[in-house]
Amino acid sequence: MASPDHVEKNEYYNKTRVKFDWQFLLVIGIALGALVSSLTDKSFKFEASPPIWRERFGKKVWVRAIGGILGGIVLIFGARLASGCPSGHGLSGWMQMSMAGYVALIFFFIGGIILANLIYRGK
Amino acid sequence: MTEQIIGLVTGVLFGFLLQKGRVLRFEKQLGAMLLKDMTIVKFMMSAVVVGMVGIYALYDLEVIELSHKSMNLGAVTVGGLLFGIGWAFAGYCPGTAVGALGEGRWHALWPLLGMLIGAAIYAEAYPFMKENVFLEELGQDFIPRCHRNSSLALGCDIHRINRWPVLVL
Repeated sequence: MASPDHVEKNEYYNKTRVKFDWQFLLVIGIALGALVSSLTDKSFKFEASPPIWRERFGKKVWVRAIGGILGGIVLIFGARLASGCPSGHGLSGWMQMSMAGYVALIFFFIGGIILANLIYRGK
Repeated sequence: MTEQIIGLVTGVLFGFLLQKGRVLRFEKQLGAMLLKDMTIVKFMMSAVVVGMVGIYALYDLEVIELSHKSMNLGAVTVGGLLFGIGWAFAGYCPGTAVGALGEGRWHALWPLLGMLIGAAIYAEAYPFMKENVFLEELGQDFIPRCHRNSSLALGCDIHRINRWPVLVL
């Protein structure tokens, strides 16, 4: 799946070229900015699993790993399909009064609210 | 190269402010989805209101062009729901997962790993999705927006009335 030839033929990668551009560096910048901010106000903390996740699923790291990976797969598939996430559609799209942005953010929350309540409510 | 540097600087500022707003936290994200903690919703809406003023001011001054996504009802709704489901499990959206890693919450690595896998899967599934999920492309102008030299004067006026008092407040 990772062979150059295979990527070359892939329709999606031909539409959306992978490149080392400003967007890639913006993502790196987010981590750096958060690091500087949290170190300077002492809110930086190493954490193996989030507290409310631990209450619900226990503190085993591999359980969190599986939940996180599965969640990541589904969410990025959705973001690719919708062509944006809460930053791209929610913030950027809403600011520019984009119809796709309004609909997308509302559907992010519909999906999120339903599932979060199924997982955590009343536990 | 200049463009890359601007990207990096913008990212650092964005990450810094997201962290200061405490919206990078798993608890905050789930809090919003459980409708218990509205920090994220407030953060987003304030950002939208402020950003809208800035963006449209620059746009009116012809400094920038608008750049947003095209509307495809099938892709946006199905993709949106899938995103929401994954979001509730992961506890982070893509930007905040990277940011959470920056503030030491290394469990954000798992969703990030999943996202790389998911992106590869999507690239493989793209022809199928295009065939079966995508509907007609509606473009960016589904709602009358305020164009320079716009013939959509009504949408433009509503927008002008709405946005400038916000700046004053």
